[in-house]
Amino acid sequence: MNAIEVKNLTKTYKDFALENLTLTLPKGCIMGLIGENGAGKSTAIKLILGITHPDSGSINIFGKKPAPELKQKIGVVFDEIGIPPEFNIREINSIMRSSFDNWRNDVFSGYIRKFNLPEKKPFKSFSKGMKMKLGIAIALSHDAELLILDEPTSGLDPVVRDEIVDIFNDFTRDENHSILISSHIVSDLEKMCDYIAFLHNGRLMLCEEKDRLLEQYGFINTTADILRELDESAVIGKKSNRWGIEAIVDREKIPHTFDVKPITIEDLFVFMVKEEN
Amino acid sequence: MRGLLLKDLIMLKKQMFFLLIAVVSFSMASVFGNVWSIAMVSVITSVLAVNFMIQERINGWGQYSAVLPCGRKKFVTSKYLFNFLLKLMELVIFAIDCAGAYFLHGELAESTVAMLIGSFVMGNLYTIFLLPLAFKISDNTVILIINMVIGGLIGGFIALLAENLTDIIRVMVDISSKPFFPYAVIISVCLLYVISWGISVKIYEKKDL
Repeated sequence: MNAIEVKNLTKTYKDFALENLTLTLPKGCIMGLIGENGAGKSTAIKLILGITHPDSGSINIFGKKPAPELKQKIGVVFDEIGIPPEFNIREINSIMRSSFDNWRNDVFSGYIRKFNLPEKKPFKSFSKGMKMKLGIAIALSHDAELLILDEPTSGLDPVVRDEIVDIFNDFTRDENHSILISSHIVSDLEKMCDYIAFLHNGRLMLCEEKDRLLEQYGFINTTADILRELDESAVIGKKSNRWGIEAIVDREKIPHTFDVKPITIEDLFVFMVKEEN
Repeated sequence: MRGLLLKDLIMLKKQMFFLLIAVVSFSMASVFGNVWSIAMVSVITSVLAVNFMIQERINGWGQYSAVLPCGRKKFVTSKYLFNFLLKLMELVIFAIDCAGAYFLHGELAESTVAMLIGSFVMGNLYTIFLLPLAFKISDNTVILIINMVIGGLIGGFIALLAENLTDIIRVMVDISSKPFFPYAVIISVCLLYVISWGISVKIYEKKDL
């Protein structure tokens, strides 16, 4: 069964439109939604969570239409956690215990201790990293099977980011657990994701298994003349430098004589977006 | 929904100190003769529910609550229940006030009773009309202005009520002598609350948060 199935999801605002988004997150996998600021990542997540309504298209979570009860199984972290600023952790714990059927006090307390968060201080006195950790603790304390995370590592220092990535990796050790995570920090997603979806200007550029992307695409250093001779569809993106041209190519569509070097997801993303622009 | 209600109650508890000062001051003033000041208790409890909604929109709780497993209908219901609790508190304060006035003056003046009933009905009407608007309008500044303007109008109306108290009491005594009157008032207010709740649910279910 798939954790999330989205088909032809469309949402139009005055100055932005998310067009025909189609993606599938299989159970037990992590999918990274990559895109620059304003690409449509948060819009996609809000639509999936029912915070905004789509103009058209369909959403299924665990094979069902989204309903409030399904949120018992979903843990959510936004880049801004909407906790009232004067509330402390004990009060937040009480509210969540009254909201989720499977709320686990012991798990929540465990995360609070692990993250070294002060129980009596008001939320407004927390740093960005502390707020994010609290959001993650909430998301992980009600036996969620699906985590939906919108920019959970943005604005955090590398040490905290690494800690958080480890927690998400732990979460997916259970084969029933899945994560949809959006970020523009591609390196974080590269560490943990099984699937990568690129969003650019509200359109899905690709959605593929990460390993397959890394196998399929590679770097070549060549000249403009040689590049022109290649099949146009083989070249995903290119950049001129003083030694010639650096290009990302589809390995299957170019002659085997080329020396193709491995790429990172970040390279692929940057080259694709630049080519598109 | 318990979680949503609990959140509002915790917020109320956090502001209780200032609320208590205001409520006790106005109640004392009314017991000692300034009869219209009791109406301010009604204004405070009426404005509070909408103010809490504005506050939670500013701090992002409105959106965050949408990821809790309760749904939008329950979110709206929790706001109406919270308002109902505030109104119960208001009635308790009124009862204490009446007891205080009776103890001090040896009788309960008609003017006090008229003011209590008038401000209670006005306060409820305010909530009935304003909650759907608060769900509809996303702009916090606009809703805050509407909140203050209608709050001001109620205050003004109550001041007017105080000035023409003798005439109003005569009319009220005349109407209230009819046996159907209390039932008609209660049923009308309940009906208006149900309509207001239904409209709010429809508005909020369609809204992009």
